[in-house]
Amino acid sequence: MNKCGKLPPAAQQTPETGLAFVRPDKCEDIQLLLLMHPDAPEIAGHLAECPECAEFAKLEAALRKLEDKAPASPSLASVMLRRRRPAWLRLGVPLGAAAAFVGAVALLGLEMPHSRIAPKSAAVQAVPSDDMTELAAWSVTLPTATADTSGGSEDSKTSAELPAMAWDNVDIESIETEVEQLDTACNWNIPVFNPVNTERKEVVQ
Amino acid sequence: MENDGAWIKAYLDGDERALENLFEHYRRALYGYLNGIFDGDTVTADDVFQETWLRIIRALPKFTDRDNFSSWAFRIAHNQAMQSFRKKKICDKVGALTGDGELPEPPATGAAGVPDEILNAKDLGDKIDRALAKLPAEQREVFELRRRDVGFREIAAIQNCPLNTALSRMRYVVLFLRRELAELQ
Repeated sequence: MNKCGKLPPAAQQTPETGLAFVRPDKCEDIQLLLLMHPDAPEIAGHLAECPECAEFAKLEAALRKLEDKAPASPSLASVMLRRRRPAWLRLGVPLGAAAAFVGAVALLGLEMPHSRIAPKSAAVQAVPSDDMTELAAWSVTLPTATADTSGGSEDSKTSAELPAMAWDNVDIESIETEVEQLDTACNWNIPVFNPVNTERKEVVQ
Repeated sequence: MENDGAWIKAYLDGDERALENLFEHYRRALYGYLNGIFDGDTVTADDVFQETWLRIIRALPKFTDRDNFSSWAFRIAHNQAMQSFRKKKICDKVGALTGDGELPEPPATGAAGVPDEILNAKDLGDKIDRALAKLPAEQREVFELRRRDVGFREIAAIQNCPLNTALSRMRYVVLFLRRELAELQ
């Protein structure tokens, strides 16, 4: 016996409905059939005898008559505006990431003392060449002193045995001369922005 | 419906007005559907609505089955909505699918019916919206699609489920609403 109290009719195939279940033999099948094919012949008879399914049909019909009270939707213009947004997003994000990477590398380079892009320190430039030579000679004697304290093994090398390490072999004056020539050749004219009179002045070296 | 194909063809031939016609014809249904399944969250509904139309416009040149634009558009809206749900990880609610992926037993209704005064009340839509908010998205979606005259076969295709599952979901919603509305009296 069914939920609604009716005895189930004999199961029969109903291929015309296209549904997976056979001829309805309980209220659930009737209700599913009602949703899909409200005009099916077996429904009317069942609804007349089953108050539960009749209630279901009444509510389902009321729900289908409900008004669509959706609020105002976005306009087509907003959609088209959004359509253009990915274009600059596609370009902007990689460009921003690349710029950030280059900036980070440049910043790191400035922080490193022996970087080529690091500005030449004014303090280093101010050291006389004679003092630099003396400093270099002092630094080269360090390995010898270390070797002596370890017992003077065969591995210990003096500045005479390590010509490549000796600062004496580096012509600092010629390097500084080359740097000055490079500065002169490049003629760094850096424009300076003056916010008061909004004039640009060039610093002539 | 019969205009859809002509509007699409005209738009692809360069007539921007045809796209406006297509948009105006479906904006209410699509937005109402999204607003329904997002339970009145208009910010998310707006976002998904715009993304849906964006994808529709982009895909129009490749869309061949122009007489079935409605189903196609709702399917795109459904896919966008599901993406949004996944991002937000919306929790299951009453009547959500069981662990086996099956529909749960529909709520017991008892003998009480829904009085005619409730069914005929002007605020029936508001009462139903409040009740629907308790249902999981897939069941609410069936109701919202059905409310906009989308056929069950199309609903099954949109939800990528068997036809009987779509029908069962709708039946569950009707029985659930019947119980909810009956308790109002």
